This record gives sequence, structure tokens and C-alpha cells, in this order.
Amino acid sequence: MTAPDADRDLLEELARTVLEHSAPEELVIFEETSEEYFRDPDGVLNPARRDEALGFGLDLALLTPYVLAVAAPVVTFLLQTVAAAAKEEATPRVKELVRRLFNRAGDRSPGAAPDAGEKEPLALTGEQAREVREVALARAKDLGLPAEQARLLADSVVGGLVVAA
Amino acid sequence: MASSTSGVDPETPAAEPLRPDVLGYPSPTTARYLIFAVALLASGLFIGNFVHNWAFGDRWQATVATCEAEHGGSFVTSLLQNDDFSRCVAGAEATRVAVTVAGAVVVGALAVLLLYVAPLVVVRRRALRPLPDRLGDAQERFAALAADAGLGRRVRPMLGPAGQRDAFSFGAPGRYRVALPPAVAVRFRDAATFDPLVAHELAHVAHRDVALAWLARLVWLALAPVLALPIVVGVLTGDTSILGTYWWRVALLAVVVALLSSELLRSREYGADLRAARLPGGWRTVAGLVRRARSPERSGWRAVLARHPTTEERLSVLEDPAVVTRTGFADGLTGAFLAALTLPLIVATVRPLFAPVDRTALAYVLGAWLLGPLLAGSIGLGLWRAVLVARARGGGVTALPVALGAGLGIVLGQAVSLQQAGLGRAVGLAQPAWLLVSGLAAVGATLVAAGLGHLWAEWAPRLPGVRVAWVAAVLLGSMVFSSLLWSTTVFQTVADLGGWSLARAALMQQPLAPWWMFWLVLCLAVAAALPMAARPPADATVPDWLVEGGGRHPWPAAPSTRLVPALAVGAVAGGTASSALALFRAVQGAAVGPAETYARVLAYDWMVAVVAGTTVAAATMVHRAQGAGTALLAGPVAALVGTVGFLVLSTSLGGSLDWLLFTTFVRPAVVLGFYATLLLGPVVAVVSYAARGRPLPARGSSRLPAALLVAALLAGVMSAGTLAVRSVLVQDAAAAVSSTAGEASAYESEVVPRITGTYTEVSTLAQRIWEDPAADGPARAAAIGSQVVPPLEDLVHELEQRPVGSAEVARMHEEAVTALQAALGRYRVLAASEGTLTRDDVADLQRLQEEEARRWREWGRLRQELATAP
Repeated sequence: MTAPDADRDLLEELARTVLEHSAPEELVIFEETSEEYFRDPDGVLNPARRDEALGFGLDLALLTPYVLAVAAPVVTFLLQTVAAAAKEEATPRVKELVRRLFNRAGDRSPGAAPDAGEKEPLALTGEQAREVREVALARAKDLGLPAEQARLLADSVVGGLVVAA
Repeated sequence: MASSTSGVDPETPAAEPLRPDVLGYPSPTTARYLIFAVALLASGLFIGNFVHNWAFGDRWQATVATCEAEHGGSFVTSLLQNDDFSRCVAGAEATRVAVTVAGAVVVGALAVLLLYVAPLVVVRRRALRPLPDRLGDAQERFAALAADAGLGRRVRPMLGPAGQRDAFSFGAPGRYRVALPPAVAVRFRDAATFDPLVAHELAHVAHRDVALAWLARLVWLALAPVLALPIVVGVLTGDTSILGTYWWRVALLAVVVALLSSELLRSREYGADLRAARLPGGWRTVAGLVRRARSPERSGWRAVLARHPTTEERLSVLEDPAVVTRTGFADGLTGAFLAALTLPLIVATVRPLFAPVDRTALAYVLGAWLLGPLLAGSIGLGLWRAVLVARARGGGVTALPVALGAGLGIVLGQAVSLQQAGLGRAVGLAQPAWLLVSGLAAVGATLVAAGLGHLWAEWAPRLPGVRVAWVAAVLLGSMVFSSLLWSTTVFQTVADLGGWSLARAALMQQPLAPWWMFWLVLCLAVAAALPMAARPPADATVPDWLVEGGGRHPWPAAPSTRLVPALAVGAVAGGTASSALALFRAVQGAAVGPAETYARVLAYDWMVAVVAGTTVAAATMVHRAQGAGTALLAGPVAALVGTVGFLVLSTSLGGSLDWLLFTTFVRPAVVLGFYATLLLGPVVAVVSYAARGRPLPARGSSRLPAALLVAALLAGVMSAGTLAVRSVLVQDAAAAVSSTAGEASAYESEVVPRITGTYTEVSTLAQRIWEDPAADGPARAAAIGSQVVPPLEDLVHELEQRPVGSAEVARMHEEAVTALQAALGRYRVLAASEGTLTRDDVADLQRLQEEEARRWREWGRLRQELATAP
């Protein structure tokens, strides 16, 4: 599955959620980064290696494109899982349920009640969370990330979801 | 030869090890960039010349053929004499120069145009955009760092696309940009990433790396298609005559451009890292970021084309900036190669400009003094910086690898220059073996420049600032390298024209031993003497401008050279040569006839010059690295003492003592002594390098006798050797008789310039006096008598005394002497007239003028006959 095949809204929402925890400074340019990513994912993830004249010699990449790339199979997995669990086939409804899995309240303390009007979040089971992590890890490895970075990214993605205690 | 010991103040020791401030000196790579750009622009000259030959070649050839038929001579002989040929072809040559220069102008204009267009292309192709308002804080941080770097608003940040992972600098002059990768731009609060990265890029701008790198790159971009022109024309017209010598030179140039561009870029990274290390976090902050950098591949062709050094190399420079001052074989090779590549193209272009004023030889001077300073900035400056930094830490530097690189670079550059690609030649390559002489001299010049650097390094604690240090390096290096380029190019041309017989004559006369070279050698001697005479005190400290972050560091003790012992080495060598001269005269007896007398004087001159050159051996054996610099003083001293010895001997044997004899003898002795130093220096350096492990005596008092003994022994051996092979150095009378062509060549180089030069001077002076409205008749006549007649009398007397071998040359010479006697008669009439010419005076003047004109015509005709004789 490639990134554009996934539901873009959900995917971006999950990516934002993950970045809120792992690289909040990148959110300031999230829209344009996401736009570039969806326009040419391979060009963003695997740009031509340049030995820039009068450069520094660095190879510093944004986390955002990788989060978006890893989020794609994760969102697909979540859609399938939620649809099966809720016996629900209406896509808007399933998307809404998946959205409630996202741990958006990054600044909300654990156990605190949601604000008025905010829907009660759903939570993944521990087993489901492990499966999400494996999906994310496999994708991260497919992207060519070193093992340690792949693990961190997979953990970040899981950290962006609500998991039942 | 006493040692220079500097005391260490035990009460104020330095808190930290000395960390040299290497950025005070301009980077030698700046000069290398400039030579690079000049070499590429000069290649445009070649294309201009090609276009000229294509469009106007037939007309030009017809003009040259006509001038040769009417006046004799050629482009090469015009180097040695002032002739009608040069004036005849001046118009056609002016057209050629205009079209040739247009070639370089087109390349330069295209490059400048690209310089302003390229940034727009970069912005578009790399999808760069200004930092959005949401990154206003990043913009502010960038501005603060730019202000710290002294760049203010001249540099603006731009945001790269999501795929950009490294920062880079670009832009047109005065409007520079730094393209930031988004991953860095959003982390502007990360002082361990944003600050050193931006500071590094700003350093590139501050060091003018952006302008230099882009200029070199764009000049090549502009030149490359233009260089294809001869190939395209050749293929289309079927005239492929020059392609065999052309295409591989262009291919080689392309390879050199690629290699050198990458090498220069790698070199500039060190400077950018070091300037960035001036951030509050110091070098460790930059080192932290460098450790995160991608190390370029170090295998195969990728390694030589890499634009960044390896991480290890960068870290080693950050930890110890002295590492960046190391110079080696490649540094000498690239600078010398580019200079030698370019010089023939420049000479061939500017030579016609001097033809109308009879000074075509000035083209060689101009070309050499254009490239000499660049070579000084590239090689000399790097050596001086390396020597100074090493000296401040109590260490030394061997210049031999750089010198060998420079020697090879001069040889290769001349050999592959586009000017040798079948479109005419200004620099000789008919006898490629002579290139080795040029190469050897380049090695010697580099060693001499390094030797001066060693002497001046001793003086560093007394210098007021870094600017004085590097300006001296460039100035003195320019004198050394310009004289090298000039002398080797002219020598090669002369040797091509008339072989060794003409070259040895040119060495003794104005073509290769002019007065300006005499004064240049004396200036270098003074420059060598200054640091010896005013050394720093014993408790000197390393100057502040050489230490990063300040701190009191004692100036390390090391042996150094003192003035009196250096003078003594020269005096002993010169004295030994004088003694050898006296001994030779006593054994051989008096010369028989004027021809042998003249030959002996020339042999003595050679001997004194060679002995002056040998002082480099004595000086190097004692002072090692400082020796080549010390010889710049000891050599001229030896030549002056030898000259005095010759005059004393000559006078004691009944000869007349006059100023003319002194100047005639001392000029080649000093200048050729300098050349001998350049040629002997490499041999001595190799021997010295082989013996580098042997310790020197600690104190000067024990080294002085050894130095004087070595100087005397070498001078004695070389004097005997020079006199033994004098037939190689000086053409004797018998040989002259048997070789009319050789004598004619020597006459052209030795006598003709003297005649035409003096005659032109006195004629101009006489005309000015006679037309001076402020003077009355008697005053004009008196001035003619006192200012015009005496030098002409001296010239006639000198020419009458000159020995001549063959009958043909004697006849030609007689015509010149008679013509000058007629001219002398005219001026005597004017001087005796008291300003009022009688009818008899007018008749005499007319008769003498006609006689003079007839003799000059005959002189020219005979010269032409001899020049064209098989």
C-alpha cells in the first residue's frame, strides 16, 4: 500500500498526532510538507543524494514524511480493524471511530475527562497496539530506516493512539 | 649563525596549548581560484585567436609574408631586437589581438551573465522559497548570526523543499542566499544544529567562497561550448589539421577543471568550519554537527570529486587548526600548472601591443607579473603561513614536496597549454628538454620563497599585525615567482631560437639579465636581511594575531640566522672566486688579443655568478630550511665581492677602472647568481632532506666556522669547475670564426639591442634639446655637447673595441660603427655651432646624415642576409 492510497485526511490526522508527541516543531510547516509528500512521496523520502557545493555535508531529513509513510498502512489496518469490530460498513462512520482512536490530547493529563462536546475516545487493546506497532515497524524498515530509528518511529506511532490500560 | 633563543617566562605560562588563528591569513585557495578563473578566461583567448585565423587568417598571413620580405625578421627575433618587422605587422597584429581578446571577453561576459542568472535558476529548480512568516523566529535567529558574521542583511535565508537535507549557499555578488533544509529551519532553537550550520554557511559567504566557486564554475560553463568551436569548424570544413593537438588538450582541461573544482571546494570547507567555530560554543559545537555529517565516499573517482573532506579530516582541523596550513605536492602542482598553462596565451596576446613601441619583450614581463602574484598567493602564501604556524609551536616545515609539485606543474602546464595547439607559438617548445630547466628553477623558486618565509617567521613577534605578514608574503613571493615565470619563458624562447649559443649570450645581456632583475635581486637581498638584523628579544611571545583566543605563549627557542654570518658566507664565497680568478690569470697568463680578453671577461662573470649561486649550499647545510632565504643575501654579496675582486685584478694589471666596466660585470653576476641559486637550490634541498635527521650544532658560534669553510670549499670547487667548462659557457674567438651563424645570433642578442637602445635614446634627447623653446641657441648647443655627444662617444668606443670573428659579421659591424660615427659627427657639428648654423655646417650635416642613412640601410640589409642565411 502506498501513502496516497490511504485515506489522506485520517492519515494526516494521525501524522499530526504522532508529531505532536515526537517532533512538534515540524508542525509549523506540516501542510506544505504533506502536500509535497503526497505529490511525490518517493522524491521526498528518497531524494537524490547531493554533495552540495558550499554545503555542510549534512543529511538531516524531516520526520514528517516518514510519519506520513508509516501512517498509511497503520490507518489501513485501523480502518479494517474498526470496521470488523464495529460490524460497521459505512465508511464515514468507520473513519469517525478510527479518528477517536487518535491520542489527540497530547497536553491532556492521563485520566483527565474530555472537554464538553468532545467525544469519548476509543482505545486499542494491547494486542491491537502490538499489531499496529508491527505494521508500522515493517513499513519503517521498508523505507530503509536504520533499525533503531524504525523502532522509535513505530513506538511514536503507537504512542499517537489510545491504548487501553 | 648564532642561535636565536627565546626565553620562556616561567611566571606567566600559557594556560592552554597554542591554538593558531589561521584565518588571519587569506586562504591560499583564494589565489588558486583566481588563477583558475584567469586560466579559463585565457583559454577564451585561444578561441578568439582561432576565430581570427578562421576569418582573417589569409589576410594576416599575406601581411606577415610581405613584412618578412621587406624587412626580414620574425616574431621570435622581434623579442631580441627592435626591428621594422614588428612595426610593419603592427596593424595586422592589432586586429588579431582585438579578435583574440574578444574571445576572452565573450567568455567573461557570459560568465558574468550566468553569475546573475544562475541564482534564479537555482531557486526555481531547487524549489526554494523565502522563510514563511510562521518561521519568523528562525528568520530572526538567522539575522542575528549574520550580524555576528559581519554580513548584515546581505545574506537572506531560504527554505528548501521537504527533500532537501543539507544547507548550501549561493547567489549573485552582494545578494547571497542560504538555502536551509526544512529539518533545520524548524529547529532554529536547537543551538547545536541551527547555529553551527548557519554559521558555516555564512562563513562561506564571508570568505567569498560563493563568488569564487560560482565564478570558476560558470566561467567553465561559458567556456566549454566555446572550446568546441574549433572541433565543430574542423569537422564541418574538413580541415582537421589542429584537432590532433587540440582535442586532447581540451579533454585534459575538462578533467583538470573537474578535479580542481572539487579540490578547491574541499579546501574551503575547512575555513568555513573554523570560522563557524568562533561561535560561543566554540569548535566543539561545530565538531558535534560535523560528526553527524555524511562522510563522502573515499574510494575511486568519487573520492577525488567529493566536495567535502571526510568527517575525520574536518574534525582534525577543528581540533587543531594548524592542520589546515599543511601544504603539499598537490598545492604546488595545481598553482604552477595553471600559471604555466596560461602564460603563453597571455604573452601571445599582448605581444603585438608592444610592437609599435619596439618593446615586444615587455609582453613576457607583463604576463609574468600578472601571474606571478597569483602564484605567490597560491604557493608562497601557503608556505609562509605553514612555516609561521609551525614556528610558533617550535616546529618546522619542509617545502620540498610543494616545490617538487611546482616544478612538475610548470613543466606540464607549458607542455599542455592550448597555445601549443598549432595556432602559433610565443613560448618555445621546439626543444622540450629545456622545460626541465624551467621545472628545476620552479622548484628552486619555491624553496627560496619558503626560505624567506622561514626568515620572516623569526621576525613575527616584531611584526605589528597579520596584515604586514601576509602582504610581505605576497609581495616578496610575487618578486620571486614573477621573475621565475619571466626568465624561464624568455630563456626557453631564446634557446628554441638559437640553441645554447644564443641562450648563453642572452643570459649575459639585457634579454635575460636586465637592470630591473638586478634591482629585484637586491630588493630580495634586503628583504632577507631585515629579519636577520632585527630579530625579536629573548623574552618574546607569540604575537596575539597568531593566537586564537589570546593567551601568553612564549616564542619557542630555535636556531636562526644572523646578519653578519650571512654576509660573511657571501664575502668568503666572493673572495674565494676572486682568488680563483687571480690564480687562473697567473697560470694562464695574459689573454692574446681582444677576442680572448672578451671571452675571459665573460667566463669570469659566469664564474662569479655560479659561485654566488653556491652560497645556497653553504647556507642550507648550516641553516637548513632558512638556507634558501639566507642565500638571497649571501648570493648578491658574493657577486659584489667577486666583481670587486675582478676590478681589482683588472686594474692591477693595467686595465682602466671605470663605472661602465663595473656595471657591465656586476649586472649579470648578480642576476645569473640568482638564477644559479634557483637551479642549485633543489639539489641542495634534496641532499639536505636526506640528511634531515642529523642534529645541528646548538649555538651559532660553533656553526659559523663550518659555514664559512663550506662556503669557501664550494666556491673554490665551483670556480675551478666553471673555468674548466668555460668553453661551454662562452664562445671563444676560434669558435666564433668557425661559426658565423652562431656569432650572428649572438650579435643580434648582445650588440644590436645596445646599439638601437642607445641610439634611440640620444636621438630623442637631441631632438628634445634642439626644440626646447626655453633655451637659446648657445644653451642648446652646449646641452648637445654635454648630454648627447658623450654617451654616443662611449658607444662608438665600445663597439670599436669589440672583438668580431667572422668576416660577414665584421662587415656588418663596421657599417653600424660607421653609421654611429656619422651620427656622432652630426652632433659634434651642432655642439660646435653655438646655436647658429653656418652654410658649411648645414652642408656638413646633410652629408653626414646621408652617410649615416646609407650605412644604416646597409647594416640592416647585411643583418637580414645573415639572419636568413642557411
